[in-house]
Amino acid sequence: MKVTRKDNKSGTVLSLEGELTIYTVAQAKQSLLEGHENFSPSVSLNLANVSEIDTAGLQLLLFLQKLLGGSSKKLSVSKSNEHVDSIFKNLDVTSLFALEN
Amino acid sequence: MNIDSALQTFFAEADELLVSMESALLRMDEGEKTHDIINEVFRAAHTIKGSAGLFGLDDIVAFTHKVENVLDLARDGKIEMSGDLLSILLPCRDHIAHLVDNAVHNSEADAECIAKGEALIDSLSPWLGESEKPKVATRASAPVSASDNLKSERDLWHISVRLGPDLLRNGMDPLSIIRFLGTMGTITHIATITDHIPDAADFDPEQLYLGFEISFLSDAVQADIENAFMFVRDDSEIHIIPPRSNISAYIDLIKSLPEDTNRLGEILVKSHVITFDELTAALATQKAQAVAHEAVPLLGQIFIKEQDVAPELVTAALDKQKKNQERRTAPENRFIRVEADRLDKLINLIGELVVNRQRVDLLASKMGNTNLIEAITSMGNFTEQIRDAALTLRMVPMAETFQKFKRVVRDTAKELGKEIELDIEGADTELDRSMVEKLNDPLMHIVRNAMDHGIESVAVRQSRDKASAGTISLKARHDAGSIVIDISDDGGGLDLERIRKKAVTNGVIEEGAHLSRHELYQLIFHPGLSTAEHVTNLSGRGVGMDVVKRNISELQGSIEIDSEVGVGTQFTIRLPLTLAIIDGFHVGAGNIDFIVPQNTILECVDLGSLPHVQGQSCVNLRGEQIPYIRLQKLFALEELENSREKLVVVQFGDKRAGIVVDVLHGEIQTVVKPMGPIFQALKGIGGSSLLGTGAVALILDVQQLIGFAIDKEHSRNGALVSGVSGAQE
Amino acid sequence: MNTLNKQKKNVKNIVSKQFLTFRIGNENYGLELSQTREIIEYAGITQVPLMPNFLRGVINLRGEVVPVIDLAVRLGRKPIEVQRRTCIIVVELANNDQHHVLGLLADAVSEVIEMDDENIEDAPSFGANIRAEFIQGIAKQGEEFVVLLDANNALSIRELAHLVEAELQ
Repeated sequence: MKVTRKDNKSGTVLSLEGELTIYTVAQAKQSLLEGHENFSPSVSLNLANVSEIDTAGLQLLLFLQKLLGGSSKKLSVSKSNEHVDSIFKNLDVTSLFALEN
Repeated sequence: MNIDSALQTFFAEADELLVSMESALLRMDEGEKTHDIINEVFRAAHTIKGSAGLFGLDDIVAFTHKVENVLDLARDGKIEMSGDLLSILLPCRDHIAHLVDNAVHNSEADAECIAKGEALIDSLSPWLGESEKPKVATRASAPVSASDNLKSERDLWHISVRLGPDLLRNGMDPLSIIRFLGTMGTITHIATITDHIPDAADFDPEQLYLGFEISFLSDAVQADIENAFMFVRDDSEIHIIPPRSNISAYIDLIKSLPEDTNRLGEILVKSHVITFDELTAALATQKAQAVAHEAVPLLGQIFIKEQDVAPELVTAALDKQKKNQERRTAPENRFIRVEADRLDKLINLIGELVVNRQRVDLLASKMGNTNLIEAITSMGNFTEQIRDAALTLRMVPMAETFQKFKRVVRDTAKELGKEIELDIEGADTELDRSMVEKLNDPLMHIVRNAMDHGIESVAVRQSRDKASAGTISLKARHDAGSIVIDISDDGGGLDLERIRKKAVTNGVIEEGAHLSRHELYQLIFHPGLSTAEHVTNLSGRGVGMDVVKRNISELQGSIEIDSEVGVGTQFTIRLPLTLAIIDGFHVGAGNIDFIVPQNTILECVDLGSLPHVQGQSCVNLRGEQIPYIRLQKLFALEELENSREKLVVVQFGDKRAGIVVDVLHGEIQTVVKPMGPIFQALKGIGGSSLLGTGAVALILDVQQLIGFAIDKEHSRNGALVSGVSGAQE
Repeated sequence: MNTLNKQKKNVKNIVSKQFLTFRIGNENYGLELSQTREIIEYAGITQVPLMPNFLRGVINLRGEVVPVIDLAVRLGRKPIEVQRRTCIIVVELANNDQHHVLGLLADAVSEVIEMDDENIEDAPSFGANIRAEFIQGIAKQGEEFVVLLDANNALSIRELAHLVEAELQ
């Protein structure tokens, strides 16, 4: 799992790449939280290159949202792929991330 | 809950289900097409799919689902279980088995496997019809918003799930369960409860914090839905509220859950299981009463006041559902799965108990205390009963083994273009499980050989005035402490001349060697000697029969052949029961203790008291001639002075013979200890055993012993010992 | 062996093995300690009929029936005569997932010695009167030589079984 951070005018973009599952969440948590204090108020996730996601992976994203919400930052998903979409739909969390279809 | 052990349970269960599925399909193929039997197949497929779904074994779920759909239609009488359909369902079963096997070995399906699955599904499509397609589509899809055509809001199941925190770590994924639910109906609404996700400091990404509130439209019975949570139930809190439950059930649920009441209420309203009015009314009533009485009112009372459905009706309906469920699962509950190792350990311990009891017996009789002896005798009776009961634990009927051959014969006959029927007898004959496993391969070789080389083609059979369909029969029975399995065919029989020629060509025997019929037959067990003219993919590779012989020998058994050209061939396998513990008769010869298996002994007499047949090792016992062997001579043992020799008359098969020993000690229960590979070549001794004194005694293998004696006699005199006497004279 | 020597060897990472030494006749033999399980007093062997000389019989080792081998015969010496100090060394051999337990008759058990690989000489190609593959080396113990046996070869179950088979024919 690789996390790339980019800050542009519209906010912070976190691009995730690889597997986001029970096997990688511990490390992914570290990478995602790195420097989260100075994320801009609008954080968007690019999940287009996530090869696999499971409940643990999804839970991590929900956690991040909650955490950022604590400092009034908004987390949304800007890009995803078919696999991620289907998992989001399965658990009906699409709306939580304002995921655009 | 350990995921590995749960998976192992699933694999074992799947194996069993696949066996019963195959058996049911074959019975249908034979014309038995009752509703029950179709149901059996359906249930097997359904359960496999269900359990596979829990483990996220999507390949198995996807494929089995299609098969199940076809079976479902057949069960409803919408399509007929024709021979054509059965010919597709059997390979479908095999494919499921293959997929399960992949899962066992944790290997991905290869291209060939995928192609095969697709081809099978294609071939099922004519039976699936049009009506099936939209149904599948709905089932596969993700949650849809509650549709308007729901007859009543409360037609929905409501499932509230708070799973154990270690679930993810144990390798389970709640998504699999949710997807699996999707195969049993439609998830109309799902809410993921994120309330328990903590702040950064405590958040452990490998721990599960999520909960789910699921609304579910399904015809499934409660037990099926419960089963979806079977492997996670232990550490989790799961509430399943059936459709049309009264409102109190939902209120109860809301109250029992740790989350905010209003929030949960909203979810329930949103998921259409209850209306907003119902909810607020119920909550308000309850609150008002609570204030008034300062006690929590019974929610059931609220229900009775405010609902117009009679609660009795609901209860009755649920009871009925429950009963149906119980009836359905009843036969499955008759067995419990026990690890073979544990069983072996128990049996070993009981073996030690039996030996120890002997020691206590010995001591008690030395002391001569009658009370003690009495007490020990009654304890001994229980010991025997415990022993017998324990041994039966390991016994399994031959049925399962024989069952496999139905399929083999059916498929192979098709492949060979022959007509072959399989006749099975004595399938309930029981045999030690460890032996059954080792018997599979030899039986398979013999049956395949019989089909390949034994049974003639239809044309040849007709030209020989035989029924066009050949018959192979498998028969098992108990006989004098042995298990006898006959495998016979009504095919062309063994051509002795051809065997001889082949043996000469291969240098197994010399040109012009004189061999008896029996010896010629035994040649086919020689490595590298196969009489097949063509090498087929079934047999004829020149390996097989020698392996058969070796396997049977390893089981301390023997194999005999009888054949007649043009009529058929019969193989007779004789195996000892090889139970860990046997009843024996303790005798002495020379300075060695021997044990003769009790069930081979007819009687014991003084040798000196019997008239001898002139010039032969043979006595006349009440008019019957009994040939005998002296253990002391045969085994070159020390000669005892003043021995009053005893004759132990034994029977094996339909033969009788005598064994001459020096001392008779008496009956004894004894634990069979293998002698180890060094003594492999020693004939006539089947094992060893410990006596109460701690000394080692050797257990005689009566049949082998007599055979050994005859061989020895044969090589010494060049003549056969005066034939072993027949029992009926 | 002095301490200094030992330390030096350890630094050089030389493997040392422990051997159980015992006497047969007036010769010293050694078996790798890891292959031996226990030493028991000689008592009550049950003869097995028709066996070759080297196979003295079987004993009851706490419920397990274990064959007893006369190593002297196996090594081409005179059979061991049972006397007061005769004992049975129980060895456990493992090969191809199978493990075999055998008893070895010995006139007397001596001691456990530790030997570095360096101090073990190769088996002589002649002069020992023992088949070369039975020996893994010769060690010098004071003025005496100890023949370190290769138990897997000297007690090969397969070979023993063949010898039994040959005897029976």
